[in-house]
Amino acid sequence: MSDKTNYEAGFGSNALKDPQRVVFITPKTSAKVKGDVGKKVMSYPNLLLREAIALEVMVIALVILSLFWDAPLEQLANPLLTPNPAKAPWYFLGLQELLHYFPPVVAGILIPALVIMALVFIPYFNVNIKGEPFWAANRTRRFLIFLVITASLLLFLVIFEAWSVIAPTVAIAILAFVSYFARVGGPRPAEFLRTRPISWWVMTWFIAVAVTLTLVGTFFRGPGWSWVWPWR
Amino acid sequence: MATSSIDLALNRLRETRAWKSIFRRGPARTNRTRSLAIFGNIFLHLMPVKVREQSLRARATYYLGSFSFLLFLLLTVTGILLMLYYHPAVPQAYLDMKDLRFVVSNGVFLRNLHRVGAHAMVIAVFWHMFHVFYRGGYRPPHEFNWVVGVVLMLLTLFLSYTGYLLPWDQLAFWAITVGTNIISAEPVLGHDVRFLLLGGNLVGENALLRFYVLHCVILPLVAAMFIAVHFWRIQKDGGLTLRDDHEREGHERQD
Amino acid sequence: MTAEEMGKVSKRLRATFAIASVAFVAVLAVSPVKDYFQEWKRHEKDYVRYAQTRPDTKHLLADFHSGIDQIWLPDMKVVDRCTTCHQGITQASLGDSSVPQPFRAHPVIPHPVKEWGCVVCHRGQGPATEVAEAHETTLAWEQPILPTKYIQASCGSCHRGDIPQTPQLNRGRQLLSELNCAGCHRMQEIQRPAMLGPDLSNVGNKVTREWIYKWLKEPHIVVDASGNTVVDGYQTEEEPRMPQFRLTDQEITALSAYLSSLKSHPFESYKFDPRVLASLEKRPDLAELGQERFRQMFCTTCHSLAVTRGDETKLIGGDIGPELTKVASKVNPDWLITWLRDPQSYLSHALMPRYQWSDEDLYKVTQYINEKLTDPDLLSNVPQLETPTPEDIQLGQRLFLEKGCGSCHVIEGVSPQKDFGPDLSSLGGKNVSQLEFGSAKFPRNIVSYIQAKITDPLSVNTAARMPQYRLTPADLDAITTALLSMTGNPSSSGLERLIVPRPRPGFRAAGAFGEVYERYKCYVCHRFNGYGGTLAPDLSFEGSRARRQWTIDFMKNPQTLRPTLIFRMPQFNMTDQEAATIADYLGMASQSQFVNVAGGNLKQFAPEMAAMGKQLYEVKYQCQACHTIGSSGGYVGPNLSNAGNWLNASWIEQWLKNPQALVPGAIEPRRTFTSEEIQALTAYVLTLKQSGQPKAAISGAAVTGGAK
Repeated sequence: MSDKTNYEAGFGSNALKDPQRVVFITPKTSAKVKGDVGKKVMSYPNLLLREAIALEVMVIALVILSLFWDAPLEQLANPLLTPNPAKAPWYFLGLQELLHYFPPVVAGILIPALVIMALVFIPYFNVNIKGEPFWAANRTRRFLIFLVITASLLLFLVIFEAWSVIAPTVAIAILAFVSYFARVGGPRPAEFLRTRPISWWVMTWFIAVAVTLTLVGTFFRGPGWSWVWPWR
Repeated sequence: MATSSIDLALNRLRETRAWKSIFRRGPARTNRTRSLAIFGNIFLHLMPVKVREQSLRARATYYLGSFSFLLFLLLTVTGILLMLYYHPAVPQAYLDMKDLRFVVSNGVFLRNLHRVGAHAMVIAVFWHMFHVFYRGGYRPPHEFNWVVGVVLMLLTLFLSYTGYLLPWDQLAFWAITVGTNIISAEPVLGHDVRFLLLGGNLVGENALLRFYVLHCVILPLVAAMFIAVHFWRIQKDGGLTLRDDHEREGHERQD
Repeated sequence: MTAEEMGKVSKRLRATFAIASVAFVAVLAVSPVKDYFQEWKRHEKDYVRYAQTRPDTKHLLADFHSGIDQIWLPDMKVVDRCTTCHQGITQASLGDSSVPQPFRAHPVIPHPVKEWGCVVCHRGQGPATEVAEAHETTLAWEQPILPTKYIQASCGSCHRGDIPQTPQLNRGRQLLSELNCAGCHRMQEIQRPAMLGPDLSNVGNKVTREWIYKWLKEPHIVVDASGNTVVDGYQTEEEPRMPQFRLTDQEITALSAYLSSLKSHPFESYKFDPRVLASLEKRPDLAELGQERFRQMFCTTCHSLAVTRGDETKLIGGDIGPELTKVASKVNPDWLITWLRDPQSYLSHALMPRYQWSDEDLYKVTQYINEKLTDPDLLSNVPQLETPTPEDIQLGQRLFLEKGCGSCHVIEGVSPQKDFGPDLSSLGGKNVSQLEFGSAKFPRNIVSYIQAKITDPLSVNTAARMPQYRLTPADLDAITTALLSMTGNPSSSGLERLIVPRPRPGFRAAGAFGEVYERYKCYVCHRFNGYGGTLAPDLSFEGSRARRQWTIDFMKNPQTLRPTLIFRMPQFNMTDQEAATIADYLGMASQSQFVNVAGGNLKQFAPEMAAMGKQLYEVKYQCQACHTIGSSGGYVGPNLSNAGNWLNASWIEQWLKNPQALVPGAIEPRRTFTSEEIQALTAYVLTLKQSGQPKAAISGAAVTGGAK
């Protein structure tokens, strides 16, 4: 490469001889290189003041809550007296609800492990860094894949009769289905859905399922994990 | 005027030797001294000296990361106060709850605040994570900080879960029993992990002691370290990336 | 934008910060204020104010200490802060009912409040300092204050034996035992009674199928022709032990078929001596003769009969054995004879003594029963029952097991289910959340639960197998109290140490006396060394009291000259040898440590002493007010006409010194006799002898009649 006669045009890449730089811009380049956005202010006092206000507002809210709501305290722990149902803390009730449908290895180990693995590894696969809408390219093929995956997932869930998973899944699937037919420049909600990338759809589905399971587990499960109405 | 006299007194104070030995900088009236206020302080130096105005807007972040961290602080304070009244022993732990409720001045309030704060922190951390995800904040160059965030989320859950047992009432006992039974469903190491966690095969006094140490010492220390890394990395990864007006790309903001 | 503007903060932000800071401080002040107005602090202030209106203000305020007042019983793991509000609980001057709660004093009890606290007996949440938390059922405490009506239950949690201060609890325990609740339920310290339901292995020989049908349909109500409600022949206040089961007519038909087929031990009809039959058969007054003998044998000490005088019908007689007004409508006459001769051969734990019958007596009495104690209308409303089919019998046997009949009744070759009903040994300590209320509509607390279960077993669980009992409200409360006292094993070793166990009946006679004792069932009426019935005198020290020959005579012909007594010792027709065995045993074993019989008997008394004693008896102490000698005197104490033959000298001396030391609770007043007076009175009493044959009226059934 150091031989000058061997090339006619272009940029030299030897930084010692030719102090010029070449920037290769690929679609995977991080957003950082786009440069700074907007003006800057000093953290002191702008940020610190806001943090202080945030602290005060938060404490006020929590103090008011704890003046009117008492932390639950039941009777002394008694290993011989099993309450029915025995419930885990609320943030694990989604898992407990899953356990109701699936074998313990699947619901208690496999699914949470997969979720955490997914969360950890998501950023290392630079999928769709631009955030292109799901339906932007290969529309028909993607639609077919979507239908097949949704149908098989629902079939799997129906086999296990996991109704509290099926309900949010169906809801999100309907939204995705509708967004496929949305036209460019339609009403705002339709336009919003149309432009969502696949990561948005997966995450939204996950949150919908998690929230539904947690709510069902917290409020709608009674003795023997049977369905109860909380207002009765 | 009152303001000026306060200012005057403040200025006098600032001139004292003791003050100057603590705060090396002068009053933060110039950008230089304002910068010094941040990076001259061991705690604040995890923050950037300058921030983008956009990232300060409530809609950019809803301050979810701030709230998560502030809740951690609040829980540390209330938790330490509660530790003054608590013995990790059976059944004394439960009797301590009764004393907090009926005898200790403001004991109910303290416990309520800790409990409410704990629930709020779990909610805030989850919300924070989902929000960051929707804003695309996990993308390069923030991928490592995203992983740190996931670890912090798990630590938060574990902190909350270990604290759940400490009142030693029926609610606590059975919630932990149900939770640890899920662990033992894991075929290979499940039973061993459960044994390690509980210090036995049943939720008993050993489990209470382990959960107490985890909840009050180990997990808060680990979480504090990860929080420090989390903050540090925001700055080192180029600050909060922000929504570009032309593209609909979200960015995270973290403290 | 200049560089310095980067560091400027907008006024709006400053204002927000200022407002937030003020609100922040204000909100943090709320809890301390709330703390200042706690309930218990208000009660303490009220107490001080109230104390100032009392005459003994100074004394009351000297005992008052502000702040949390706490009784701590570390052994029992009890923290009791009730006295924080109940400040006057130990102030004797605040015992009046006009004193407002929570300041009123507690009535004096054997367990002082300061040592025991309140919650050990009253339940409720000891550590609580709020009214609702301390007294009611809450999420954190499911043992609310026990209603005062059932407070004796708490005594029973530690005092497993009966104590005199808890009549309601004792009655409840007695009912649990009598109704054989332990037959189906496991219960703390309640034994199965000696008298279970009859062994039914052989019931087909005893009663007719029609009678079984009637009994199963309405064990508590058997209605006679005139519409009177009667029990097993006649109306009683007592319920029959057998409760009413919810049976359909078909089930009753099947059960009666099965039971009437049970004839496991065919018996031979007793053959009377033909000479006796010949002499009695033709007599027109046979029934009257039998009735006379029936009375002479004092059958009514244990059995009752309905007697109509004027418009009023009453049951006369004892309640140890069944009531017999219409017994002949129930039992087979041949079975009756076999039973009377040897009750234990039919029912091994029967309480009826095995009398020595002469053929004459047996014939007379059975004829009397068959002719007079009968009611032809008793079974008039029983439907025509076909001959039992094998299917009926099979169904009957299955029903016998399914309905839990086997818990009370034995049938040879049929093994009943063990622990038929739920375990009740810790029912009284159960939390409300542990009780299944179903959709029942009564208050969610343990008292309502227990009472609903007993008064209507179906109220909670429509599939309940428990039969229907009929209890008076007082008995229901008594049973509730007894059940509430069963709180299971104590949760702490400190409480465990408080348990006062039920005394075990330790007395079982052995040897030759043991045989007689069992045969005549002495223990059903008499108490020996703390074991036995209370109908008749305690015989633990009888050997110190009565002379051997008197005892033998009395056994052969028990008579009492206490006309006020209804229940008298039956005539067993004992042999001489049996009577001697009893007298020897009592002389050997039933001795009081206070009485030296041998020493007393050797003493000789001079006639002057007896004369002086007579003087003291009649003039100074007026003993004739209560005691009869010959034909004059009172009826409160025993007749002393034959006391010289009856009593040991040293017993009389000890008795005069201190009657209650020998027989606790004796009503004879304790006088301060001088030792000379005692000598003189003893000498006089020993001179009181009735000559003549023993069959004649002999005095003194029971010295301890004084105890009754």
